[in-house]
Amino acid sequence: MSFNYPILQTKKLTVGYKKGKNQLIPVLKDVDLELFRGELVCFLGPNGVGKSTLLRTISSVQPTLRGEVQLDGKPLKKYRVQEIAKKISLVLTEKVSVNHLNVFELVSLGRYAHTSWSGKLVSKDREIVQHALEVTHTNGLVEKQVQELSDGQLQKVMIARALAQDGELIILDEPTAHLDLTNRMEIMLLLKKLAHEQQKAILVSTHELELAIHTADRLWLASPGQPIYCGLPEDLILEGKVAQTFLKEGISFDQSSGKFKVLPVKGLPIKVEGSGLNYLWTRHALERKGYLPVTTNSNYKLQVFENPRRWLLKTEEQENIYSSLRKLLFDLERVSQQN
Amino acid sequence: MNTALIQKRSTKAFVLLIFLAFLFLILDVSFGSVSIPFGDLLSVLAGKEAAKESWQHIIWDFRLPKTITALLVGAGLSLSGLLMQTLFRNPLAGPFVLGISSGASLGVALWIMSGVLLGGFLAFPFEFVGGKWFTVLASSSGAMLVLLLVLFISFRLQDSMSLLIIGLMFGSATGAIVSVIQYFSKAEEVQAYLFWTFGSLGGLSWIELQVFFPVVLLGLILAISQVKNLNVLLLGEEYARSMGMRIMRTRLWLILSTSLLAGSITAFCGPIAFVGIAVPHLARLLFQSADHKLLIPATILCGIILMLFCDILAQLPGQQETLPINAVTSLFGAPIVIGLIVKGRRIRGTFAR
Repeated sequence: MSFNYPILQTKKLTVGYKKGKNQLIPVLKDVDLELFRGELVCFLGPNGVGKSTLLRTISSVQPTLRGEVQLDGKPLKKYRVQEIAKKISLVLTEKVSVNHLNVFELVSLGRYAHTSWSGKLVSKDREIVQHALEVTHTNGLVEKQVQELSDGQLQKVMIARALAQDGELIILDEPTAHLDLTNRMEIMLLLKKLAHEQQKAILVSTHELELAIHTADRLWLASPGQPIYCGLPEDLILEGKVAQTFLKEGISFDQSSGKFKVLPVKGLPIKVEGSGLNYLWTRHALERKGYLPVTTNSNYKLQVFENPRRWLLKTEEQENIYSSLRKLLFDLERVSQQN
Repeated sequence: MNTALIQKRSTKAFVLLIFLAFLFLILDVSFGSVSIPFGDLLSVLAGKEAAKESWQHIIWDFRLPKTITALLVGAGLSLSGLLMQTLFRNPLAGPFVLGISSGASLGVALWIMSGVLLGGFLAFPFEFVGGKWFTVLASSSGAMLVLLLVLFISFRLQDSMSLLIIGLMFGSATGAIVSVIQYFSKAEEVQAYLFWTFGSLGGLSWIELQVFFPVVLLGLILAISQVKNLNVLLLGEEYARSMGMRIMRTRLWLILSTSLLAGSITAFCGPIAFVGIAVPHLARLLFQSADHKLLIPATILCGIILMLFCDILAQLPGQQETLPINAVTSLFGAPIVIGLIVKGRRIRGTFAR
């Protein structure tokens, strides 16, 4: 991460909508944020908190309600549309679908702000398009029709188009929403690489907290009625901000693993003994079923053995050995309901 | 498909289209109610004398203006259809979604049958009302008025589906007004109005062409100047804006171009249906491309060919009568549009959502 001056800065920025002529409906208030070249920032927050609204305002698709956005130290309002396009490029969630358009043509459209009225590519434009295709590994797709691409390929091509626009800041609004897990990881790694190797400032809104923790240089966290927290993923976890952002009944954020957990509901304590993977996943199964695995003494004792996988359940009345997790859970449910 | 292969294919298609356009151009001039030997036709076109003096008159003052009109109408309507389909990202849009033809018909109806409204107080003599220039004026002002109304509403709504519905609503509203006017009009006035709605490529003198031609040319040039914006619009307005396009400005140029093209064509030739919707799809299917650098010339050429073809058909070789051009284009246009809808898959993906 570079500690030079920010490419983008918001000052007391309030974003939202206008209803009628005079009524303002603010979504996020008095936001002060900074974005630097060479860093990947993930913007997280629950649905409806105003992530898209903020991104749309920053990229000047939507007017600001109050406050200011500064691009390279100059107010965004003072830029012409074409000048903004040379600095900021945008990738949206919605799938683009156009018949008879191939990947090269689509990526070349990114040169819009740089070409003449006819959109003809000169050799410099072709070089930049080629470079964008190379760094996104979409080189092999150039002659494919946009309609033939998979969702993951399409999103990579849209990122290539954003790169061809040749700005220093790329804003992506939930670019991974339609993708499967491996494609989501691939896109995030690609964005990280672009930020670090091409010195782009990249701002991504996403719901992938775990992925964001592993890839982002910094996080922005937005939650209703709270200021936006920003900082290193690790700092924000330790300060409890992540847990606070995603506070919901029945769900807890585990600070040691960086993962969300469903809180136990029934909470019948069971003393679990053992070690290894079988032990871990048995605890997992017990938690999922609503029991509370403990290490202290309890009326229910469960010993977990590995190789072969066996389970020994001791209650006050009886002792049983099980050869499958399913049978154990079935019996446990019967026994616990009797008591 | 390979890029070089595509280029080769489109070059071939263009050569074929240009050839067909020339062929139909010659055929269109050759056919008419009076049969003129081909040799005489060529010598007249070359500026020499024909065997009969009347042939010279027929070719210069009737057939040639009519052919040029067909050319302008085919090119203009098709291209404005393409502009509207891309602007509203709707495959069923055409040159008249903005209410130009319904406005024009209202203007012409009001003008021809003005006796009803003015109660004979200011009614003009019928011959005066029937004058070409006045029809053109009435049609243009009616079109302009409804266009402005539709635009006023559409700029507040900003989505293509509601615009289509508004266009439809304006169509039926003006249609209703026209029927009320017709109900109270004299038979000869109703007939004069009906003839206007049949559409006609003929009847334009060289003087009228001197106005018609530059207006259509200006519309075509405006459309061509927007080629890059049209391509970017394929990705939808949000992407277009983020890539540096000024939406309002582009929209205004495209609408101005369409108004010039569709407005002048309707004014001089009446409301000619279907060409504008069908031809852009033909061009897309033929060239398998979404690039307007290809689609604009392709649409113009296909439009010219289709219009000349329809005019040749309307002429009914060897007969005195000519079919109304609007009936011929619809007879051909309708099956094409139906076919495209049945093949739905192709159309649905034409534009980004």
